Amino acid sequence: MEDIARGRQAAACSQNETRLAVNVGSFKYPDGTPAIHDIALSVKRGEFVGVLGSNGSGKTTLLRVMDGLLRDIDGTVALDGTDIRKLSPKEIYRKVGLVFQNPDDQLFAPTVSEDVSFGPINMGFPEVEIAQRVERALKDVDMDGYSRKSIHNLSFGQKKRICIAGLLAMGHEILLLDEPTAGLDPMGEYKMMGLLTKLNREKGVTIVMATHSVDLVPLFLHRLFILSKGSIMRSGTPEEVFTAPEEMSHVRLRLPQIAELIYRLKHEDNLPFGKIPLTVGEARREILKIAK
Amino acid sequence: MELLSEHITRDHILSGIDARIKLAVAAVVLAMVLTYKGFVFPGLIALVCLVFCIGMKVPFRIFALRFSEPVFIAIMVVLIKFLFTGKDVLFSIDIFGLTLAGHRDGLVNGLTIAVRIIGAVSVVAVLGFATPFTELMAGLSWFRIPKGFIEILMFAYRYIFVLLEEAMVIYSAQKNRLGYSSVRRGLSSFGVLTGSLTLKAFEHSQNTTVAMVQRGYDGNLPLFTHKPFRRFDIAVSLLFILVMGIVWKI
Repeated sequence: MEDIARGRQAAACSQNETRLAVNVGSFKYPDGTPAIHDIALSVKRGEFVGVLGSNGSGKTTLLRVMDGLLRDIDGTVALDGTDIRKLSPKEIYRKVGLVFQNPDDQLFAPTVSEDVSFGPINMGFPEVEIAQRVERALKDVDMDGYSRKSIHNLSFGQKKRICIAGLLAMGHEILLLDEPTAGLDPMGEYKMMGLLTKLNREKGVTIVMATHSVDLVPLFLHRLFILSKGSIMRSGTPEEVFTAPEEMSHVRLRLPQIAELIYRLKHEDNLPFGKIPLTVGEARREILKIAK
Repeated sequence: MELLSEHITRDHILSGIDARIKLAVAAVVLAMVLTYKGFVFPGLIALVCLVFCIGMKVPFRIFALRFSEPVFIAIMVVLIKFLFTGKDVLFSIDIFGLTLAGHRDGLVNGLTIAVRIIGAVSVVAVLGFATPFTELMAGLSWFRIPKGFIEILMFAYRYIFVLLEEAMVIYSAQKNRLGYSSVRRGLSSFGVLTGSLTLKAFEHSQNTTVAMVQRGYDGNLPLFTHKPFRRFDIAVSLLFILVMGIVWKI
C-alpha cells in the first residue's frame, strides 16, 4: 500500500496537453430530467482522474457525455481540441473508450479472444496484427492464458479486465471507466486499481474513472472532481479535496476512514497533528511523529 | 452451462476436423438415422458416438446431463407406444377397473423411435463436443445460413446465461418473500419475473449496442474466417459416410 501511495505521487503527469475538455451548461434526458449542469473540467495527457460522487450524482451521465454517446448537450466536449460532435464515431472511438459498470453489457462474443479481437478486426488490421494486439492486451490486463475461455465462465473481476483489454487492443489512449471497482472484493479492488495505475504509468493511458470509493481514491488518483446533484462542487488533488468531514457530508460522501480518524483525534481530542493524512502510510508517519 | 466444447479435450482427431465438414457429415448421418427403419443403424451410430465421447474424454456428468432429457423423452415414447398403441397384446392388467395392456407391435414401434431419438441426439452431441461454438457458427455462415440468424444465435448463446442468472436472482428474491407460496401467487410472480427479464434484456441490448458501436460495429459481426479445406479431413469424412452408407443400405 505504501508503495502504491508513493507511486501516486511519482506518477503525477508531467505533460500539460489537454486531451478532453468539457464545458457543459446543461444536459437533460429526453423526458426532461436534468442530469448535469455547469460542468467545466479538463483532463490532461497521462492523467489519472476521478469523478467522485454519490449515487445519482450524474457520474455515469458525465462519462457518457465525455465519450460522445450523449450529444444533445448545451455546451461543448473537445477531444484534442476538436468538438466531439464534429467527429465521426470512428474518429472518437479510436481514441476514447468507455468501460461500463456491468461487464456483461460490454462482452458479447462467446470467447475472450473473440471479444478482444472485435475492435481490431473492425479497425481493419491484418490477421497477424490482430492476434498480436489481442495477446498484448490480454497480457496488459494480466489475463494471458484466458484467450480460449468462454466469457460466461469468468469471474466478475476477470470480466472487467477483459472489458479493458477489448479497448486496449484498439489502442485507446483515453479510458473512461464507470465504477471499475464496484462489485469487487477488497483484494479485487486493489488489483483493479493496481492494473489501472500500471496502464496509466507504463502505457501512458489517460484515465477518467467514476467512483464513490473514497478510501481508494487518495491512493491512486492524481486529481478529483466531486460531483453532486449534477454539478462539480470541488476539484483538486485528494489532499486539496479531502479537508473536512462536514464538507464531504454535504455532497453525501465522507473522508477516507483513516483521514476521519485523524481528523477526530486532532479536533476532538486535540492531538497535535499537522495536515490530515489520507493513507495508512501517511497516518502511521504522523502518529509515530507524535508518539516520539 | 458446462455442456460446451471448452471442457472437452482438444487433441482428439474429431476436434481437428474442419467445422464445415463436420456439419455436412452430421447432416448426412442425421438424415440416415431418421430415415432408417429399424434399430440397427441408429443403435450403431449411438455406439460410435459413445466411442467418440469416450475418446474425447467427455466428463461423465456433462455426458449424463446432455443425454438426460432425450433419454427421458425416449423412455416416455416407449411407454406410451407400448401401453396405448398396437394390436398384438402381450399382457393386460386391471388397476382399479382400468385395463392396462402391453402390445408387442407398440413396443417395437416405440423402441424404433427411441433408438432414432438417441442416435440423432448422439450425432448432435458429438458435433457440439468436438466443435467450439464459434467454429460451428463460422461453418453455418459458409453454408449461406442468413447472417442475421447466425448473429442472433451468437448473442443468444452469450446472453442466455446472463439472463438465466438474472432470472435465478429474481426468482430467489420472489421465493424469499413467499412469491410462490400458492399457485395463484406463483403464477403472478412468474408473470412479474418474465416482465422484469424482458425489461432487463432490453436494457442489456441498448448497452451492448453502445459497447459494440464504440468498438467499430457497423452492422456486421466480422468474427468468421474460413480456412481452406484439408484433403485429409475430406478423405476421412467421405470414408466415414461411405461405411455408414453401406451399413444403412444393408
